[in-house]
Amino acid sequence: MQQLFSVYTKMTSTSTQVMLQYRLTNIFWLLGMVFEPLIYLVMWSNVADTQGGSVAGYSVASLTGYYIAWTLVRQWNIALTPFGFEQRVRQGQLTPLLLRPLHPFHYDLADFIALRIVGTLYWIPIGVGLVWLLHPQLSGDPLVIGLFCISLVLSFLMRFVLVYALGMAVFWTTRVSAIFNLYFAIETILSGRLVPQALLPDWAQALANVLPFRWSFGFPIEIIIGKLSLSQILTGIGIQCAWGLGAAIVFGWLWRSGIKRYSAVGA
Amino acid sequence: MRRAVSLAWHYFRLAVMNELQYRLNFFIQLLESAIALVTALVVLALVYSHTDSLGGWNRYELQALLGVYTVLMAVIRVSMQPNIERLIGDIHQGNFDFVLTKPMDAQWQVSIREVRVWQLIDVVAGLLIVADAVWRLGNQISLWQAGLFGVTLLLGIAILYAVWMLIGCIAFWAIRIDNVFELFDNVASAGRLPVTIYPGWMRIILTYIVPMAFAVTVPAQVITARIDATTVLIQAGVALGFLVLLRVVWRWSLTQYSGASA
Repeated sequence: MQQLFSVYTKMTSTSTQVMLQYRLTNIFWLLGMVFEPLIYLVMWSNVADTQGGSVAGYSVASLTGYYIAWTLVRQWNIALTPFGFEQRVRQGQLTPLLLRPLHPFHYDLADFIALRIVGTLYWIPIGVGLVWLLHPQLSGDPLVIGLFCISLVLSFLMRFVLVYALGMAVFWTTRVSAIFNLYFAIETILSGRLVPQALLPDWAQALANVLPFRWSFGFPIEIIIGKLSLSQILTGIGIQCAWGLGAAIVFGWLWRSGIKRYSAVGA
Repeated sequence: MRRAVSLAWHYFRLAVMNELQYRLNFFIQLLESAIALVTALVVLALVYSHTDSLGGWNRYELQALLGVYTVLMAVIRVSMQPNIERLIGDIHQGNFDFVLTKPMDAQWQVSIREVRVWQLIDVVAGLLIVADAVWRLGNQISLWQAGLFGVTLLLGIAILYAVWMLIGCIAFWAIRIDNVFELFDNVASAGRLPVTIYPGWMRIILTYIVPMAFAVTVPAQVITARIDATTVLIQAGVALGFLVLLRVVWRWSLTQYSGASA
């Protein structure tokens, strides 16, 4: 356990330093990432304006807060996609990873944690700038901010395991990109990336609650803009943990049966 | 001129013949296009479940705009993006020498070499969305209006071609420009909404730097009958301006190329 921890800290710090070198690349990437929510914000603010200042309980100020928090949560929402995993298996890149002392999952996770750290560092000036410029409605309560940070990290971990497990499908067939696209399309709509959950029709809201997507995106945002009560927040954090653990168990099982089928193409 | 067109036709035929070997890809692309389209239409329905008008556009007017956007983005993926990717690769590996030694104009050559045939599905899908929107709006579309729509759509393609190629020219100087393209793609996605609803500074970007205002909004305005002839003339002027600018920058870029392999 202690060895695992030290591997994580070493891997993370190495990856962080590697990624900090590409400054211009990182800035372009971040700028692009801010543009997407800006479009949604303009769209829904416009709707709120025509509906007398608010839509489904969201005023322009809370929509602004929603989409500013969005930019940070989106950072923490990036995982090793099945497409990345598919490429690995197709090109035989998985083979050398299997020879390493730890499970490849650990190296990937450490790598992505490093990315999140770098991303967050770059995000801070942009986030502060946006808050200062746009006067959003955000919660200033230290307890809420603390819970937001916890749920942010949990949203990353749970989605990372979930999407990683999804990538295991590649062991059985390598032409499933359409299915992954369908998954991500549903995620885009139900997670809160496109619209706050409250703006969905009732049946879709109910669906979003039982599926994992909302818990890895909309939920932390709703915490920080002050939409949720303390008990709702704690329940949500519990649901995040449950999804993460459930996905980890399924992943372990899929990996064990899938790796037997792996034939090391290209090696 | 005739030789230039026939060369483009041959490249296109070659790409079609090549792709026809992989028919499964057609169905995969069909499925992926359907997913993207349904997502876009769901968002549209969602927005208009809360309001009747977005920036003065009703639901089916915005659907027409979305169709135009789909067509133009598909054209980028069919032709511009793969061609520019190949150009960048050629510059880095020195293969660009072979382009320069051929008798055909270099800019024309690098613009026609690649075609992603299956992506044409999205062009068709986008046009169907426009047609459906027009039908639901119940407006009478005159032949003249349909023709004008075609012209403005082509002008929109010309504008995007020039802008994308201009960015591609950066490859003559800088090594890694894939992130610049990603940024432009993100900015271009703002074209899904009429440019008039954006705040001032974004409108400036979308008019002068990534001119989605002229590329997407103008054809959509034509087909939803909310435009006068002057705007179309301005669009034509913008297209011409960007093409001339591209020509100048392209020639200047060529003088910078020294042949990486030599």
